[in-house]
Amino acid sequence: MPLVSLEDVSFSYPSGHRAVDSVSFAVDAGESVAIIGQNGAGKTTTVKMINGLLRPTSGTVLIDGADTAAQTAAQTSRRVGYVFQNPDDQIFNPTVAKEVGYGLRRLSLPAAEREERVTRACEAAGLGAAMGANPYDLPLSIRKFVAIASVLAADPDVVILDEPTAGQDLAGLLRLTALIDGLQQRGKAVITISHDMEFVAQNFDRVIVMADRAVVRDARADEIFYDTGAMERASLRPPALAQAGALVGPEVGLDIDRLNAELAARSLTPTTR
Amino acid sequence: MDAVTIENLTYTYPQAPAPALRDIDLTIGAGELVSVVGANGSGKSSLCQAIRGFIPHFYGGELAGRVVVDGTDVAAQEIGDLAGTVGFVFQNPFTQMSGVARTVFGEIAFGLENLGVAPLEIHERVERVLEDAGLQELRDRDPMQLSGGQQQRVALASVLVMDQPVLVLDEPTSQLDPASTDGVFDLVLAARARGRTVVLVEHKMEHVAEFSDRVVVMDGGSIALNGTPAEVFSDPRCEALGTRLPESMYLRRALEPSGLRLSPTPLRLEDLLQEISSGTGGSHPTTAPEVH
Amino acid sequence: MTTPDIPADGVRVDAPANPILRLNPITVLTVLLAACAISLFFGWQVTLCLIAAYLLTALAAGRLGRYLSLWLRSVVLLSVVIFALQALLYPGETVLREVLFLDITAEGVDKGLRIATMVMSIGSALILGSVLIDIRRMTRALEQRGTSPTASYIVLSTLTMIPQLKAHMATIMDAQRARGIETDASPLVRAKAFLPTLSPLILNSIVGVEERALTLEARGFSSKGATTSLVRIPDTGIDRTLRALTYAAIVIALAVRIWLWMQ
Repeated sequence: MPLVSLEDVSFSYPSGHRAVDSVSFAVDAGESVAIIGQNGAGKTTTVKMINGLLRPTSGTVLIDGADTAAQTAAQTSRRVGYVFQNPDDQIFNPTVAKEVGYGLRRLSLPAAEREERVTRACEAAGLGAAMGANPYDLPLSIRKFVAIASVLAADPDVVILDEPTAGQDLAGLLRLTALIDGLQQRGKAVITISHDMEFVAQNFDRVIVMADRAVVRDARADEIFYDTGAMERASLRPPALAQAGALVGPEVGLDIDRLNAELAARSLTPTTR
Repeated sequence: MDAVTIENLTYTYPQAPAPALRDIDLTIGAGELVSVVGANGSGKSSLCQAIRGFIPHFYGGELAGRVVVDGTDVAAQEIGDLAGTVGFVFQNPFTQMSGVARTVFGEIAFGLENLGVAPLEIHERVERVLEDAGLQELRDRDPMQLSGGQQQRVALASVLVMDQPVLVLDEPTSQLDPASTDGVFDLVLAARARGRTVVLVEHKMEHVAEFSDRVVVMDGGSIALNGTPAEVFSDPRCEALGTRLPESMYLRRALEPSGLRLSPTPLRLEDLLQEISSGTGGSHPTTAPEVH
Repeated sequence: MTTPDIPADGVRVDAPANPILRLNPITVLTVLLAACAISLFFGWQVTLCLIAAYLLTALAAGRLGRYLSLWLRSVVLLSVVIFALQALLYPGETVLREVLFLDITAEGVDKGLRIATMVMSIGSALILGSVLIDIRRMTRALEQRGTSPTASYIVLSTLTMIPQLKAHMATIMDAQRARGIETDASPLVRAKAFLPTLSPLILNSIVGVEERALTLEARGFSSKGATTSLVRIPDTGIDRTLRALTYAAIVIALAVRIWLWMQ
């Protein structure tokens, strides 16, 4: 049974404005999926239905078999963690440790276990040294990781990251990659909304392209990046590797070795090595 | 006269344990576009704020050394009077909407009203900026109701209209998608084409590599590298300092086993793709024929 | 592309068509404050006349509907309640009527009338002010008279911020629900969600304040020297005459009051 299942899901706001039109897809445990597309394509609305903040106007969203419409958002959030784009919309505790532990209060865990989870989450997010700091004394890009840690500590089965790379430097990007790896290894499903194709190519096996409120294509990353039609509808350029691969052919995918082999074969000035 | 001259600048925020800027020496020529890159916390924002005079006038703290912008000693000027010399654009589009203007037109005019520019001239300059920035359709919209990308363009226009000789942008595209990012860069490049000096803090290395005259890499509050994009990005220390390279360079490295003869430090992905194409007898579809 | 007509000197005169709405907000403020003061000098008869005048003014300004809706639900309701409470509960000796177990006393009626009149005087003027005066026009008019631009900024940006805060609050509530904090259901639950919802809003606002202050600096807000404006609120002969008449009215009313008091 898939961990996340959207069956013919649509969403319209009370004003009548339709934001998502008949979207269906499923995500299994351990999968990594990136949802890409222009602003207004329906990505955020779709993802908010996955974590229960919004209830579909029609269709069903099942989290591990449970219908989100039958629960409150807070209940769904136990299984689905969502890191918002702006960490400042969540953070208010005086120290990083307290902030990270805040979501754990309702889980009624023994204090020792709670502390352990908080420490582990902080370390995974690179905050080991900053646990006693006031989040607002830290730069915004680090506060992003405080929000991520607070989701990690609650140990949900699905983690959603909304534009995680905004404003991150190299160290931040590496840390994100390590985090996503770790989550996948532990059998979590990771879903992201991103317009950074290099980040997506590096960390996500599957890409769902959304445009005009619907899913345009749902396939492996190395196929999507060669689908010029889909990429155009998303108003995005493929990652560099795929752009180079396009000079050869879609069979290259995101395989650098394959690309090098093909290029060597076609080289006009083969060098002997 | 150089646009910006910084000599021996060392600065510590109030109650901070260590200086945010150490012994900075930097000269920026008029009309240059200088990108400031480096790990978060390395002092990029502080450098920007020192050029604009927010350091020390807004933040207080201890400052040693000199910052001279357009012939003016920043420390000697009032913070308000520097507004006509240095334009500043921040990362957050929303907090740059003043909240006092009902329309985009009014928002853009706000800065000129504050500077006491004559109303007829204000109209003229705002109309020009609306045209140049492609914001005509938004002129009567409420700034608070715009998207982040639109707000950032309005914020930039509201600063550009003030016609300062130096423009400082602190991560202007961090919160924006690729289309809005391009929009912002178009405006910045147009300003540079009109003779403005631009200091830009950016994480998007592809844009940095393509458009900068010079790149300054910061580390721990000091300037670690300072040179042309080609010089800086091919310097092995650059990566060691926690700075990403443009994607074209990572790809170039990864293509070594192919045996193709490629330039060692391609700054633009387009150029690299063109070389791959020529090297394999294919034609790169998106590159226009080049005339040499 | 059409360029809208620009006035000769580049400054748009903000003058609505309706003559009452066209008045300089300072004039309206002056007249209403004076009316308030004058009605407090005298009894309910003067207040009643003034209220009739307010209603006529609201009608002339095309704002009668708005005025009545606000006025009846607040000031009038409050006055009636105060009057009733005083009449029924004030300990007096001259009982006029008995209602259930309470006595309506003449002293109570008198007291009630006096307090209710005061509430009506001030409240009715206040409400008229709120439907006649546009805050944006008023801050501009005050700035033209020399109040600090910072004060104008605070008023105007607060106005703009309030809907933004509401929207932001909704986002914050979403973010907190997404980490398991219940915000729906019972009032107790909602009370517990209060802190995690309000605190980020306040903290964000504080962080936002610094960023906004810097933005203002970037737009030359604190630069020395005169500022210009693209909009002017006119201060006409009618305005000045009205204000002069108002000052005269205050003086006369004061004189009459003192004379009456000496009788």
